Amino acid sequence: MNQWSLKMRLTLMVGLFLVVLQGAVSLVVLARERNLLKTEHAKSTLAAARSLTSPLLDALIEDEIHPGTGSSLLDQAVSHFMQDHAGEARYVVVLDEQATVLAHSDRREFGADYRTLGLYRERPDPVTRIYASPPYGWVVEAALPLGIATKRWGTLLVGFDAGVIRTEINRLFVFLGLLSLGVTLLTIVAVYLITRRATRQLAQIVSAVDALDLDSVDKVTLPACDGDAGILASRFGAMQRRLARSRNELKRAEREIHHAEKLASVGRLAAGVAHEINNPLMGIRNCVEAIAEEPGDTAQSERYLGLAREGLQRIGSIVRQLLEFSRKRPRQRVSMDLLACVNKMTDLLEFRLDKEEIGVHVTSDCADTMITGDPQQLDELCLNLMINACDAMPGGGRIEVHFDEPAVGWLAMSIADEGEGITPADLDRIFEPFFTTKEVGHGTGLGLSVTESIVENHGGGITATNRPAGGAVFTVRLPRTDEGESTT
Amino acid sequence: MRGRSWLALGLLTLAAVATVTVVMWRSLMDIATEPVPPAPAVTVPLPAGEMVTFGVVSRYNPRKIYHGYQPIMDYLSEATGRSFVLRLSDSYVHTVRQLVDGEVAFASLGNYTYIHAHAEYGIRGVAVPLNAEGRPFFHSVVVVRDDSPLQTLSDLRGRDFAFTSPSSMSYWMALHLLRGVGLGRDDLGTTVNFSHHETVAEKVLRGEFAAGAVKDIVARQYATQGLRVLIVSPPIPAVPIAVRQDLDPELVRSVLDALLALDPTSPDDAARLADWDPEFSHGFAVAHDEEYDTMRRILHTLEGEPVDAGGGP
Repeated sequence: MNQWSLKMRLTLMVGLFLVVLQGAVSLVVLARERNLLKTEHAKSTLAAARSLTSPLLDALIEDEIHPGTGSSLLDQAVSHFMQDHAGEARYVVVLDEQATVLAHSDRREFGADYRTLGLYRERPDPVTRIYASPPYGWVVEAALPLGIATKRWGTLLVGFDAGVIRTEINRLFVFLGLLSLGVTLLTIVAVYLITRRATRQLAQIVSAVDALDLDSVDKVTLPACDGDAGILASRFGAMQRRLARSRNELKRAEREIHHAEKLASVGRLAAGVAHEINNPLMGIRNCVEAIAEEPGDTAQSERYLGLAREGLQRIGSIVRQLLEFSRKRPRQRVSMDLLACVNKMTDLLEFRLDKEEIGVHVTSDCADTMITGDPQQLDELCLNLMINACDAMPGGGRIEVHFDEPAVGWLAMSIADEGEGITPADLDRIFEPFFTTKEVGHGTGLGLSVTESIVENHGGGITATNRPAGGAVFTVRLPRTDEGESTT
Repeated sequence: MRGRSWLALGLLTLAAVATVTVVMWRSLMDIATEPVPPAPAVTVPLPAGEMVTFGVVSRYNPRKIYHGYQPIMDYLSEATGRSFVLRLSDSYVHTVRQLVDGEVAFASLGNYTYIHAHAEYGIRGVAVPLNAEGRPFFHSVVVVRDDSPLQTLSDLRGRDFAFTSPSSMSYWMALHLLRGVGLGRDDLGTTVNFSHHETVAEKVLRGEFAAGAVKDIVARQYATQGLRVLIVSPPIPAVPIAVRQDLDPELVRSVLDALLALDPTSPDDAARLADWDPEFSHGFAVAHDEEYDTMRRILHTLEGEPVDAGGGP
C-alpha cells in the first residue's frame, strides 16, 4: 500500500506539475502566436490598403480636375482590388470627409452616411482594428486617410477576413493541447515505470532486511540493484559483514567468559577439593609410615597397601572430576541425563554441603530426565545454580531440586533454596553480566549470566522467582531435543 | 492518503484543467482589438479668410504635384492668413486659361507658357524659385543612359530622341542645342513629345530612346538609376509664379513677402522646404520679366519647328 501510494503520489504530482507547466507554456505560446497573427494580418491588410490609396488618390484628384469623372475610376479601383484579393477582402469603402460613401465594394452602399460607425476613421494616421461584424464575420479593418500633406479627400476602409486568425489559433490550440497531453501521458507512464522499478528494488531490500536473523550465520543475498538502491544494497551487505564479525567476537567473548567463570567455580571448589584430597593423602601417609616401620609384616603391608590404593583411587577420582569440569572442550550435542548431572555436581560440592550443613533433596515427576545437550555446559549450569543456592544459605538449609515436564518434549528443572530470596529490584537485573549482591571477592557476577546464555544456547529459558515460604527458586526449561542447534 | 482521496484529487485536477482550458480557449478566440481612440482634436484651425486658389501647370502627374505643392499651400495659408488651395489642370494651356478666367489667383507656369501668357494676356510674374546655388535659373540637359556610347550631340544624328512637351522650355532648349551642332528634328530618328519630364527620363533609361531632354533637377533625380548628362544648356530663367495684372496687390504683396521671407539656410525653413517640390526648395526671388528676353529670342528663331502629335498640348 505504501509503495503504491509512493508511486501514485509521485505520478500524480509529476502529472499535475506537467499539466500546469505545459498549460502555462502553451498559454504563453498561444498568446504570443495570437498577437503575432493579429499583427501580421493587420500589417498585411494595411499594406494592401496602402496599395489602393494611389489609384484612389488619382481618381479623387481627377475628379477635382474633371468633376464627375472620378467616381467611375474609384469604382474601377475598388473592383480591381476586390478581384485581386478575392477570398480575403471582405469590403472596401471610400468615404469623403463627411463620412459619406463615395465608393463601396457593395455598390448599394453608395451615398450612405457612415458617421455613426466611429470617429476613429477620421484619424490622420493609419489605424487597424479587429472586430466581429454580422454580415462579414471577423474582420481586420485598416482605415487610412486619403490625403496628401494636409490635403484630405476622405478615408479608405479595407476589411479583410480575420477568421483565418481564429482558425490558426484554434489549430495551434488543438496541436499544443494534444502535444501537452501526449507528453504528459508519456512522462507519467515513464515516471510510473521508473518509480515502480525503484520501489521494487527497495521492496526487495526491505524484505531481505526483514529476513535477516541476527543470530544466524547465514548471509542474506540481495538482488542485483542499480542506482541508489544498489548503493543501499551494498551498504546492507557491508552491515551484514560487520554483524557477522560482531557475532563471532561476541561468541568468542562469551566462551572466554564461560571459561573464566568455570575457573572461578573451580577456585571456589578448591578448599573442598583440597580437603577431599588431604584426607586420603593423610591415610596414605599413615599407611606408608606403618609399612616403613614394619616392612616385614607382610600381612599389614598388604592391608595398608590396599588402603593406600583406595586413597589414591579416591584422589585420582577427585582430580579427574576437577579436570573434567575445568577442561576446555568443543561443544557437542549428546543425549544425557540431567538428573545424573545434578548428582555429579552434588558430589563435587559434597565437602561444602557437608561443611555448611546443606542438604540436597531431589524429586522428579518425569519418567526420565534425558535431554540432548552439551554435557560440559549442562554440568556448569547445574553447578552454578547449586553454588548460587549454597551462597544464599550461609547458615545451612536445604536445596530442593525438582524435575517435571511442563509440555511434551520439554523438561523443567527447578532449584530452590531457603535463603532470603531476591529483592524485587534485583529480580530484573539478576541475569545481567557482572551483577552481584555478594561481597567483593566472593563472586564474579557472571554465574547467572553464563547460566542464562547456556539455557538460551539450548533453546530454553530460565526464570527466577521468590518462594512464598521464603527463598528463591530458579526454573530452567529445556527442550529435550534441540534440532535447531548446530554443534561446534 | 487513501486511494479514494487520490481519486478525488485526480478528478478535481481534471475538472480544473478542463475549466481552465475552456476559459483559455474562449479568451484566445476573442481576437477583437481594443477600440481605436477617436481622432485627436485639430490644434491648428484652418484660416477663416477667403479661399485663394493656386494653379500649377501639369509638369508632373497630379499626385506628385499635390505632394510637392500642398506643403506650399499650407505655408502660404499659415503666412498670409488666407486659405490657399490647389487647383490642378490637365495641361499647361488649361492652367493659363484658369488664370485668365480668374479660376485661380496664382499659378506656377512654365517659362514657355509664361512668355506666351504674358504676351497674350498680360500675365505677370511675381516670384521665381532659386536653384541650389541661390540663382533664379535652371538648366535643360540632354541625357543618355550611362552605358550609352553617345558622347556628343553630333552623335545623335539618326538616333531616337524623347522630348518634353512643346509647352515646356526644355523642349525648345533641346532644339536650340541640336541646332547648334547642325541637327534639326528631321535629322534624328524617331522623336516623341511626352507630357512629363519624368516620362522622358524613364523612356531613356528603358532604352526606348537613345537620348532625351529634361530639366537638370529631373536628371539629378535619375542620376543614381543610370542616367548620364550629355550636355547642359545655358541658364534658363526659373519658372515664375504668375498672376493676372488686376489681382489684389495686397494679396500679391502678402504672398511675395511670405515667399521672400523663406531662408533655406535657416534650420526651421530648411526643414519646411524639404517637403516642397525640389524646384521650389531653395527659396525665392522677385520675378523680372526682362530675364525671359533671351528665351523669347530663342523661341522666335525656333517656333515653326514641327511638333509631334503624341506629345503635350
